[in-house]
Amino acid sequence: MAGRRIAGGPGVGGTTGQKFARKDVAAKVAGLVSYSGDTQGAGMLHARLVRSLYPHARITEIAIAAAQALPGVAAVLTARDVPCNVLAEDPSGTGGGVFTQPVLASTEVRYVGEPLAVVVAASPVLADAAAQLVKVTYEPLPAVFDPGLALADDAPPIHPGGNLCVQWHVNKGNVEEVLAQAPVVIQREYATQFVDHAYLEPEAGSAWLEADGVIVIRAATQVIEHYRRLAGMLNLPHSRVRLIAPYVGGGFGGKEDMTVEPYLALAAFHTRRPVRMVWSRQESLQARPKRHPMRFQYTVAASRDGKLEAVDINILADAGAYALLTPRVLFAAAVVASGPYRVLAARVVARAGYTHNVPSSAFRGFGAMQAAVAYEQIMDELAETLGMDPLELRRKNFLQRGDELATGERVETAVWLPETLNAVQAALGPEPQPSRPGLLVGRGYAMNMQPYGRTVWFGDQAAVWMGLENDGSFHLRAGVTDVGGGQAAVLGQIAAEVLGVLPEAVTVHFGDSALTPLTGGTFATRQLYMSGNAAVRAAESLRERIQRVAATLCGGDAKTVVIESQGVRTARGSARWHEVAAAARQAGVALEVLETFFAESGPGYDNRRGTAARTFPDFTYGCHGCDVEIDPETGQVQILQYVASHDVGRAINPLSVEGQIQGGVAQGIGYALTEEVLFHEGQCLNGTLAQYLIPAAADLPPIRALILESGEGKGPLNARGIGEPAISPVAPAVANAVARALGGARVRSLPITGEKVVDTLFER
Amino acid sequence: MSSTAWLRPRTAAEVTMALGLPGARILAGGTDLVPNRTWELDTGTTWVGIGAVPGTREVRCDAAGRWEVGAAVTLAEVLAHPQLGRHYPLWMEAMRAVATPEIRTQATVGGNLCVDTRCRFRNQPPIWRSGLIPCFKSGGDRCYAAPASRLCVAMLVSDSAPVLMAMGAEAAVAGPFARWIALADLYSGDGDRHLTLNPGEWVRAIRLPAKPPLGAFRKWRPRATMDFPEVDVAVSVDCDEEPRVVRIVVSAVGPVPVRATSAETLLESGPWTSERLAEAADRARAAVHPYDNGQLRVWGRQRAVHGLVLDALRQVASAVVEKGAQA
Repeated sequence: MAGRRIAGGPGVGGTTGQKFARKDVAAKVAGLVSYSGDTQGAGMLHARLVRSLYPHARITEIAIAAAQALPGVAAVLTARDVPCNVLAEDPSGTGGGVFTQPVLASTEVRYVGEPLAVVVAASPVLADAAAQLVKVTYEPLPAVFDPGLALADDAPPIHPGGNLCVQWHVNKGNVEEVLAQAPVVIQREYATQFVDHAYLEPEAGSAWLEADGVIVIRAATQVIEHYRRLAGMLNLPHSRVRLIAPYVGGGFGGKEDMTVEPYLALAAFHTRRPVRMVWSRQESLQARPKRHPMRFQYTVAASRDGKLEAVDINILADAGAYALLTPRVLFAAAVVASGPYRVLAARVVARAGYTHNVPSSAFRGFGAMQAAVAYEQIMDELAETLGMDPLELRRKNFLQRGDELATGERVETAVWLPETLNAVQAALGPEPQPSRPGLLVGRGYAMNMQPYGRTVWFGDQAAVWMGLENDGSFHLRAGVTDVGGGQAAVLGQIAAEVLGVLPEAVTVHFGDSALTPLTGGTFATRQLYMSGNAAVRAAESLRERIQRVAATLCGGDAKTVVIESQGVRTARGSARWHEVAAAARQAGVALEVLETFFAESGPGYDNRRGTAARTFPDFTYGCHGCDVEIDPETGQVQILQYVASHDVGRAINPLSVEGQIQGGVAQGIGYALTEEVLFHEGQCLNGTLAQYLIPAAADLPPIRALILESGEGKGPLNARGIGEPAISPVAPAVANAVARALGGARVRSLPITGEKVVDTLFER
Repeated sequence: MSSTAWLRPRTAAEVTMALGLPGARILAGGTDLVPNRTWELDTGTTWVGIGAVPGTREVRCDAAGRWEVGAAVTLAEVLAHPQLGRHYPLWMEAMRAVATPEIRTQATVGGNLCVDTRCRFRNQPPIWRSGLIPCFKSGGDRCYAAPASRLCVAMLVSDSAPVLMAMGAEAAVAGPFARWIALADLYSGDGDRHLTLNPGEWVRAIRLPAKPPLGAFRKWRPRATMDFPEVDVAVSVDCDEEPRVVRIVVSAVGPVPVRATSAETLLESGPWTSERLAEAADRARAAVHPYDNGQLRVWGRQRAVHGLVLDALRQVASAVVEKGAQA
């Protein structure tokens, strides 16, 4: 590959489309990566949170004297120590409402685990001991744990504005009319559960105060742009807070809202000493935001030959005690609620109610995933009602380029639903057979559409800086956070592709709010789309400058300049890198560039009418299929094989794409079969990983990823995002397979545990 | 968290003496005790290792052909042993079902038998328990899993216990009155103090029969690996005796493994038709009453007993046929 030429612009030659192991992967396997919790230093203090024991209570006193008096305790901080004790956000971005949350609760707590105080001490053991000495006096208040009950008139108010967190509408056509005349109408309800991100790396970080008064927080976060909110909390200029994100050991949305950051910043601010904070797994399971449990009511109308005519959809989600990103999550669910299918008429009402449960917020799949659980199951149920093959029904209704979504926007790019379905069908092979008599087997499929990029009215942007060294190596600076998906490495690969050099020639510096240009956080499957496009522009711009200098130096046309590992070459001659650098200085050309990519932007959402010219920039489509085997005695479901196919536009590093798909499927299988954070009156019942059941390697089937490339994404080199799309179809694919195995009996709530399977069998 | 002393006596007598110290516990592989300490479930202040005592790390066969395995031998060592696997395939199956390979390199034979009982209402983080009035096992006066019970009903989660019971194995108790006991006699039935050992007593070794019966083992758990059992079933039959000796042991449904004696009686004589096997499985299910303290619900676990016993009995029946015996 050495010295591969480019000349033709992005996407020509290079490493794009080749499988290779990213540099960070080997370092992670070898245990060489320093994660956020790995910072240790002399004189470092350790912080611990005092959390609420009640789901809803008035706080009459927080007595800290005993904790303060313990030798080795540096500080015990409560709400009165927070300069500005309000975190505020307009999560929908439409001006629909600003939601607030205290950093530390002082008068009222709204969920078990809500932070009340930060104890900072010389050792973790001391911090624990001191935290136990903080005496909180509670006056328990009535609490509500079901969003349906929370929205009833007599429910205790959770926030002054009432218990309705958000309500979205999507409207197309006259649903009433179509429903009244449709020959076939079915109605079903589905439910999903609380699940946890369960990343390997806990919420962790450290913070310190620099001599110039800048507070530095090095933490496991998906969003370094939180530095602004931290500065706001401390009443400091934004420039006085710096947030660094080293490699993150898994985010999945769980580190999109702030976790340890505000408490670390506060502790360093007050003690003026380095402070470390790491949350335990049970803190994480109890008190970190979860995936929204949702309840779906679907009414679907179709013609006798299987043409979808109308969908009438009600979604109710549990927002938990605070809004966080609930409005955005619900919006994604509402937009894709009718699935990747043409419908004449649609009506979607998506509501989220506050409860005294732990808040729900971002989780890979982000609402669109829960919706897939409903729209893909009801397609199978509709097919059964019609006496049709479920795949034939889908094929009849697949969305196509140019079609109008329920929101009224048009689909502009390729929709490879038939292609992914065909690929999965072919790969699954002959129908499954039971491994011994008495066992039940079934095969299920699910399609999906998942947005990538933020909703267009956010006016998203990402910036990348690139520079050339005298020795021919390149720097790429970007404020991306790398949550394990190769978000940093891929930028180097893309830049190398554009420049025509090896990926190793580009070193990526990432995740520092003060030193790397801001790209926006790693969420919404936006990082490849946004920062990838910015990297293309930066590399193109730098290449153009190098070519200009080289043409002057060697003679010839700038466009024909070839970049090689040792230097540049034209038809007339060649020059080594240090000569190029010197010539650039002479000519006054800076061999460093900063380029910003602006995403497609558009007006906001018309929630009254339920329509938009555009919601998300684009969608990724896919199909998953699997075979299951069920023991009717225990109800236990075993997945025999799993095939997942997505059109990713262009696979920049197919190995990373495969990794995303396999990881998404593994996480999705947990969602489908075993995972549920159980709360009883707000108290987590399974607060350890011995009780919260993530699938282990032995539980997972062989997972095959079939990568298709339509070449029509809006990302760099026509790529589409794959981070979230890969998890969405898993649960409905498994649910459909289980229903097939059970002869049409269906478990309509997740997770599909053995107990529910046997219940369902008995009910028949 | 207080500090804990770790003693490693060199003789059995010293172990017994060390166990007289306040808050003394045997530390075997530590795969359960150490996490329990972290969760403040175990507040022992002296840990007594037994691995330095002669014999506790040995595997040997006596003149009668009975294999004796020291309590401090690890599960991984048992599984890797050149002879044991051939003689005791049933026990191996149970060993392989324990936790994960990583844990099995550390966990021991004695530790697996004596492992502390578990309950959903106790094996929780300290902050969780702080919201409850203490149960029996936490020094209180009530049981949340079985409110009418006067004893703790935490579950025995040892996978080897039901299998060794089905095999007719024995345990060597060391202490002032060293003796061999049948494995069933190791368990008290009280989840709080689940072993019958007296102060100063400890399990030194186990002894397996020279001619083990045919058997089958089933472990039911939510995932294919790692989890503690929700139900364990071990079944064995010795057709050389008249009447046959049948043992059906159901475990992880209470503080002590349960013998399904009515089911055993049914199968001691007469043909093992599929109807009679199903009848035996029904009787086994009727013999156990799981408490609501596992990961899965009571009735699901109880119902699973039926399927697991039936499945195990069928396997044993076909093994008997293969062996050419009458059943």
